[in-house]
Amino acid sequence: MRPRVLSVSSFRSSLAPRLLALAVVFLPALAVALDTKQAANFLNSLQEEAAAQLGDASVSEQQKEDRFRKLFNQNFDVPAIGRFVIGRYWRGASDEDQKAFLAVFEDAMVQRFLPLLAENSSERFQVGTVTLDSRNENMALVDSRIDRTEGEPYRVSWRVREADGEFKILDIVAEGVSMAITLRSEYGTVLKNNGGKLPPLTEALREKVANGAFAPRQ
Amino acid sequence: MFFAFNEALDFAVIRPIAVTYRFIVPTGVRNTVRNFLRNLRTPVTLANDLLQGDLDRAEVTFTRFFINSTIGMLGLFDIAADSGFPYHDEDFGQTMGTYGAGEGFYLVLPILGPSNLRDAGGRIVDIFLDPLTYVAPREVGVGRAVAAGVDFRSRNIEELDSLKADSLDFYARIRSLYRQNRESEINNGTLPGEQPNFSEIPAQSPSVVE
Repeated sequence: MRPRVLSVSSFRSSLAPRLLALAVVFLPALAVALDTKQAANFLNSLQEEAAAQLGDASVSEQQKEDRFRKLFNQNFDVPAIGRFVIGRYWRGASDEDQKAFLAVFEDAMVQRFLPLLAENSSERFQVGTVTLDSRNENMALVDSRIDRTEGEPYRVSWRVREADGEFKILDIVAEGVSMAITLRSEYGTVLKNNGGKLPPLTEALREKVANGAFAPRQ
Repeated sequence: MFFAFNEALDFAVIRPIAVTYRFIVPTGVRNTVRNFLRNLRTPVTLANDLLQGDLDRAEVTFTRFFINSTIGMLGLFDIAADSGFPYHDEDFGQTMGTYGAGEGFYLVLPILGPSNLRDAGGRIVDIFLDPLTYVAPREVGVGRAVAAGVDFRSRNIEELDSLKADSLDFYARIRSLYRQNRESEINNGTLPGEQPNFSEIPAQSPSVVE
């Protein structure tokens, strides 16, 4: 103990350059917030998990939906997507209206994507290149290809965001068309026609979900 | 409004024809029809490749036309695609887009569907860019347009059905889809046109809203 206390000043002087060297080595890694390889892995394991959980034939439809909803909420930033598609009308809406909308919006998304992810086996789903977002260092666009039994394969890109080492999907882009932007234009028109009020949109969406309108037709 | 007119026409005539066509004609034959129609359009694509100054794509288009018109039996078979010369489409609306022309306003054309000022004008220019306009009687052009329409519709039956099923405002949805898709076509799919800006919306965990 004692010798160390005595040599503190010399220790300090040798520590500074070491810290500097460490900083030079590690800072670039810290500055790049998103690792493209991790982003690709994220999507791959999501697909595998969805296929494993939903491909099980012994599971009832209700159980499937429950499992998928959990998986969906873990991997999609539903509140952020919901807020984005409401756009400038979000702030004017009350807390309850916002919550009610997000709940129905989540139902709609689950209805839409459950069959898509459940039916795609790993052989048909391939992750391609990952492009970092030039404006946001914690976001990237992950390309993927989904082969179909008939017809040309779907090319789908997934916009992901990393926060605290966790990835969440924010948007899906197919053939240059973004789901988030499409829904925002559409819902924006509905909101405008209703004087900017959120509840009528929520109600219309609820009706569609009840009729199973979001389930893709095959 | 032409949108409602087109929707009614689609429901009453076009969709049933497309469904029947897909049902009675085997996939192989339908692909042959599409190959032939695409090959017929190649001169227009080539002209627009050149007008865009895209020599690489022009070369692909030219090679496709040469291979498919000869070995491909007048375009019935897309041999070129298997030889590394994939199909792509260009039109004068896209060419104007690459020159930096804005879309003008959105409009819906009767029968032809969603468009805008720039692309509708582009359609007219494309007619003049097409050698077929000068050598074949008008009926051929109309027949080709009808065939191309049925081919397109027959390949998108489920897609359009589900697009419509879950939409709250079908007109607004189609308008947005058309815009984004054209923008992506103009930059040849290298980038999605408009990118959603999520940076103002913080990451949220599902349990905590707001």
